[in-house]
Amino acid sequence: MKSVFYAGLSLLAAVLLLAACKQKPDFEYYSYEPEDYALLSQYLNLPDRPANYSTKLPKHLEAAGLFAREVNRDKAILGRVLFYDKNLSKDKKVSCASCHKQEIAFSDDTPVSRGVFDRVGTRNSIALGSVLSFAAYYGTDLFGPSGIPFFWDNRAGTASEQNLATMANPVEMDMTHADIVKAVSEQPYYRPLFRMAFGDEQVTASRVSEAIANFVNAIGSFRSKFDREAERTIGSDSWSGRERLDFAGFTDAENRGKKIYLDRCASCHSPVQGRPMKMFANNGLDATTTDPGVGGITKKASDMGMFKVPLLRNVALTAPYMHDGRFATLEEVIDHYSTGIKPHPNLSPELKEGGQPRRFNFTPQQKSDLIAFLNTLTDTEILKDKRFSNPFK
Amino acid sequence: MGMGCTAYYYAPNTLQTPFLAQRHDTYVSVGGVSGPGFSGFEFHGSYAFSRRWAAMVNHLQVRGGTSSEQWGKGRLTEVALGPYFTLGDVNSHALFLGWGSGEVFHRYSARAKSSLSFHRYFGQYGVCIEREPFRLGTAIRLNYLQYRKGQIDYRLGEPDISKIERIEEESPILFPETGFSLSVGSRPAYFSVFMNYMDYRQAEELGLAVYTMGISMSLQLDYLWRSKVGSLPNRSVE
Repeated sequence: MKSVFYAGLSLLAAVLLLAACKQKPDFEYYSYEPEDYALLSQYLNLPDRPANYSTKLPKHLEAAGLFAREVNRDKAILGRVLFYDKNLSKDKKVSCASCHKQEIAFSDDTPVSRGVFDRVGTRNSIALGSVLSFAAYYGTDLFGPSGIPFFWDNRAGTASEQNLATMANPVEMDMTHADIVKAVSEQPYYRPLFRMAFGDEQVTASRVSEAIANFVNAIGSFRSKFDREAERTIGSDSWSGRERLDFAGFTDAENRGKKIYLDRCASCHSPVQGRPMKMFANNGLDATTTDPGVGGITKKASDMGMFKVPLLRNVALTAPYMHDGRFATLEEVIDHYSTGIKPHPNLSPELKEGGQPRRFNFTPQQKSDLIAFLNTLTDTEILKDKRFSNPFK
Repeated sequence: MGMGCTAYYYAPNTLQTPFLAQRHDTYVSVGGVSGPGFSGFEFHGSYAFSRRWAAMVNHLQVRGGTSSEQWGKGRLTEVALGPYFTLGDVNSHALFLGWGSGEVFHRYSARAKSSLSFHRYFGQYGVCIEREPFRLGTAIRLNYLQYRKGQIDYRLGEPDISKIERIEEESPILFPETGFSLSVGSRPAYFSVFMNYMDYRQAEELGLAVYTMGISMSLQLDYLWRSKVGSLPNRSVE
C-alpha cells in the first residue's frame, strides 16, 4: 500500500507541475501557397493568417433587432486590396479610399471630392464608417424594399451596384467594365487573391464588385463610448424606453445631450444608432430644390430635394456635413436646425410646426450638450483597425 | 481524429485494465475501435516487471471520411508505468502514469488541410474484477492534453477554423475520462467489448470526440510461457 500511496503522490505532483507548465501551441496558419505569398509580399502587407471579417454585434444592438450579415473572408481580403488600388481609375490616381479615408471614418474632408484628372464631384462623400454595419440593414438584395439603398439619392439597391456605379462615374473613377477587367488582370498580385476568393483566376467586373462589397459590408462601427454605455445599461434587454435612462459612464453634459438628441433628432436619425428611421427626407437646407436628390431618380415631385438620412456614428469626424458638404462644423449643423430650417415644399413633417419650419431654438448650453453627446458616437477602433487599412507597400 | 461530416482533433483511446496479479504477467491485445464518423484499430501491451510495478504501451490509429477530398486520420501512441496490486484473487488494481504523443491530419477540400500534433500526459486508476469466465474492467483517467504544433490552412473554413483557434486558446486542456470493458473467455484468451467516454464541457466547441467504443481480443502471453515450462500461473501474490 505504501507504494500506491507514493504513486498517488507522484501523480498529484505531476499534475500540479504540468498545470504550471502551460506551454501554448505553436500553430502556423497559412492560406497561401508559399510561392503565392512570396508574390503577394512584393506588393502588399497581407498577414499569412487572414483576418476574420465576421461581425458579432454587441448584445444591445441585437436587442434592437439588428444583425450582421455573413461576410466571405477571402472575398473581403480581395475587396480590401481592390478598395485601395488606384489602378481601378482612369488616371491610376484614384481609389475608393481616396474619398473614403479610414482615419476619418471612411469619409472625405472636403465638401465634394475630386476624382480622376482632378474632376470635381457633385456630392459629399458618405462616411462608410458611419454605419453600424452596411450588412445590418442595407441592401434590397437581403431586405427587399425595406433595405436601405446606397448614395445620397438612394439610386443603388446593393453595395455591388453602388461600387460599380462609382467606378463608372466620369467624375469619380471613369472606368468601363472592360477597363476594370483589364486594370485588375494586369496586376500579378490579383491572381492568387482571385483564386482564393472565387476558385479560379478569372477577372470579371461583377467579381470585382462582389469582393469590394464584401469588404465594405465588413466595415462596422459599434465600439463607441455610446455603445459601451448602452451595453452596460441595456445589454440584452429590450431598448424600448430604456434609451432614456442616464448612462452611468456619461458626463452630465453627455446625458443631457442624449436627451436632447432623443427628443429632437432620433425620430429621423435613430434612437439606438442602429438604423435610420426614415429612408430619405428633406431637412430644409434650401427653400427651393437646388439638387433633386431622390427626386432625380424617381422623377416624383414629392421626392424632389429629398436625400438619404444618415446614421450619426462617428459624426464628429466626418465633417463637412450634408449632401453637399456645406456645413464645416457640427456647430453649424446644430445652428441650422436651431433657427435655420427653410420652408422647402417637401420639408420633412418632423421639422414642421403649424405648417412652418420648426425652430428648435437651442440655447448655448443645449448646443454644447448636444455636441458632447454626438462626440460619444466616435468609434476610434474602426479608425485604426488593420483589417480595413491600406495593404499596399 | 478522422471525420465523417465532422472533423475531430482528439478522441479517447481505450482505458486498458489488464488483470495484473504477479510478476511477469504479460498481456497483448488488438482490436477495432470506432467513434463518431471514424474507426480504426488499437494495440495494447502490458508487462508486470516486478512484484509491484508494471509498464504499459498503447497505440490507437483511426481514419474517417466521406470522400477522397474530405477525410481525416489520427494516431496516439503512449507508454505508462505504475504500481499494481490485487485484493484477493479476483481484483486487480493499477495506477498508471503515462505520456503519449499523437497527431491528427484532416483534408477538408481539394486544397485545405490541417495537421496538429499533441502530447498527452495522464494518470489512470483502473480496476479489473474477475468472475470466470468474465472480467469487468473500469478506469478513470485524468488527462493533460497539450497541443504542440500545427499547420493549418485558413481556407478550411468554418466551423473548423474556429475550433482550431479555440484549441490554440484553450490548450493545454485538463479533463477526465472513464472507461468500461466487459471481457469473456478463459486464460489465456479473452474477447472484450469496451466503451470510453470523455467529460469535457467544451468538447464540441473544440472538436474533441467524446466517446469511442470497440472490441478486442487479448492474450495473456505469460500464461502460454508458464504452461510450456510446466508452471501454471499462480494468481496469489508472491
